[in-house]
Amino acid sequence: MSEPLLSIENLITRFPTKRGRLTAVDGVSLTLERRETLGLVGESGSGKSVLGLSVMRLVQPPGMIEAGSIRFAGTSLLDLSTDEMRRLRGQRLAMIFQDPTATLNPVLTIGEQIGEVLRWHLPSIGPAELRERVVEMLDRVGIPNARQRFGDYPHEFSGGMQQRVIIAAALILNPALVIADEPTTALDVTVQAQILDLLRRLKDGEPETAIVLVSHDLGVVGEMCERIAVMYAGNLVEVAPADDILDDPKHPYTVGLIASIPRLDREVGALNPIPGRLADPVTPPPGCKFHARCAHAFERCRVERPVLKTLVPGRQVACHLHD
Amino acid sequence: MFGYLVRRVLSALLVIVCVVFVVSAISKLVPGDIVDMMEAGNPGMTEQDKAILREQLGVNKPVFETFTSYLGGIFRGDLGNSTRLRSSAAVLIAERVPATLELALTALFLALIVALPLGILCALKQGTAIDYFGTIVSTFGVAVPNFLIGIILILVFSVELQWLPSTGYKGSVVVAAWEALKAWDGSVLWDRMRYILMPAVSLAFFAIALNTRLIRSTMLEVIRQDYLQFARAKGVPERTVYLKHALRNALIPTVTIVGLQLGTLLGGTFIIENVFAWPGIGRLAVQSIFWRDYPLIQASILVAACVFVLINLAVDLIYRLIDPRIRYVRH
Repeated sequence: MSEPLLSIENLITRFPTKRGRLTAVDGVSLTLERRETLGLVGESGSGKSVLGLSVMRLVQPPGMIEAGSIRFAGTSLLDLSTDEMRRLRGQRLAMIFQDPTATLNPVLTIGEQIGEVLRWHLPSIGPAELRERVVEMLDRVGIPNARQRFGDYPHEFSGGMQQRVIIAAALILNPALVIADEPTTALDVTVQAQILDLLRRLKDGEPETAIVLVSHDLGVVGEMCERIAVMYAGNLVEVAPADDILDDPKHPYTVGLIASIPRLDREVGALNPIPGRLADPVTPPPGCKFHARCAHAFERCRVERPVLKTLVPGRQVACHLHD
Repeated sequence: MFGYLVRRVLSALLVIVCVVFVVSAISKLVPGDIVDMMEAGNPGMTEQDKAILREQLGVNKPVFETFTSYLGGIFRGDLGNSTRLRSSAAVLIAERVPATLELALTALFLALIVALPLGILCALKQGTAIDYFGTIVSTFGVAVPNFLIGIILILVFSVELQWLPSTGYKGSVVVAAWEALKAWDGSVLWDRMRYILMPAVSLAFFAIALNTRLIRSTMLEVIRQDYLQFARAKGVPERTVYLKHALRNALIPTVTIVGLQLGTLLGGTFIIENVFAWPGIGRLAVQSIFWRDYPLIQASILVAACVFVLINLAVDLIYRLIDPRIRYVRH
């Protein structure tokens, strides 16, 4: 078997705070194959966005990656110089962000903002060719009248159209890996479906691209992804093929997440939230970080932190119940 | 855009007409008889002189008639005659406008080239020694009045060190710069720059301080925006992220303030020109007040107000060019 596209080993990303160091990503190991679509799921604050930013090496100071390794297509990303890393971004590694209105620069035209990717990575490109390629990409992401809209500003687009523009900028150079950080969270439900559909279509058209879809919505991820990784308080707690996780979740947290998806076939008001709050990332509890919220916790859960173990090939879970 | 332009120009004209009205009514607003007041500043007037003056100033005419005749005068290029200097107020002011504009624009230029890098640096190095240094300098600059800075500069650089002349004016720096470039000889330019340096710095100090704070705080706001992460994620180098993506957004509030600052700086010349004996309209206006030279006072106020209105107009239009979000707004 060839080397995976992305392999993360024991990654730790921390942010110093007034109360102490906040561990956002706490020893995560994860691999991603070429062309794979992986869903990264967890509630707000679980560290999934920071994990995505860590792979891009875009964690902003004072936050920093303190330990671990990230190998991408045979290269150790954490050993690259700032400029070598910059040249990968936009070209081989791309990122789509959560709030399109805040992600686009309000004072630059969308043509400029997409064209910038070409200008920095293909320095020899002329203005006419740049324009041509941007228009073609706008067309591919479904912007009507792409040619006329090249010089328009972000505020002249709806939220969904803005997200299409961002996707165009991210995918214009056919990157090998796209990290989509909650790409539909800020959008209307009908627009969400369109954007997910667009992502799927673009991915099918590309022989190379793998996607990490970061989301707190298991429904969205289950529909889009082949494999799902569930994150809790900076740790991966379960990794498995999407169907297996949705049909037969192993970790109590995953069970809770699936149970908390509102469903139309249940009566109104019958929501099943997971009790309690996310473990404090500055002073995490001893043992399993989830034990205080877990109905099945026993003595060992309070003292020993479970590690991610392989149950059957392709299925991993970090829980003492499955030892 | 065109419709907006027309509306904006018309409203500026309306303001100017109002200014003309107030200026023309000065002769009625002064308590007592204006001509008697002027006699105090110009001893030796005969009753006949006073009668002519009353006629000229329209003392005995109704307010509206004073206004229309003053406005008519403006269209003929006539702003009345200075009683003290016995020549056309319009000509006297026109002679002095270049010196004042040059001083104010030099100060504005200084305010920008110092404040821009300093503000950006303070924002990027927030909480470090550089940031604290910037904060101290700008607090000082906002707190200390410009004439005091002017006097301190004179004491240090003219009296103690004897590097720069304390007062005077040797002609336009811009003209000298052009000639220095043609003749490839900077000696004349430097000679003139020595005169403008201290007045411009004392005038600019407040603006430098304010702009540094403003650019620092808007930059700090912009630095946290998602669109900078997006730019980085596209492979844009950090320098360009700050100087293109962040700065263009931070400049929007700055342009508004800087435009209005030119007005404030023009106002500041009224004091600074007197400290450094700079022959501009500020000095002329203050002198004309001491002389009780009402036609000259009226003309100075009118010109200063018109310049201020025109600057505001220009700022509004530039603002629209920089910030596309308000470019097409229709009312």
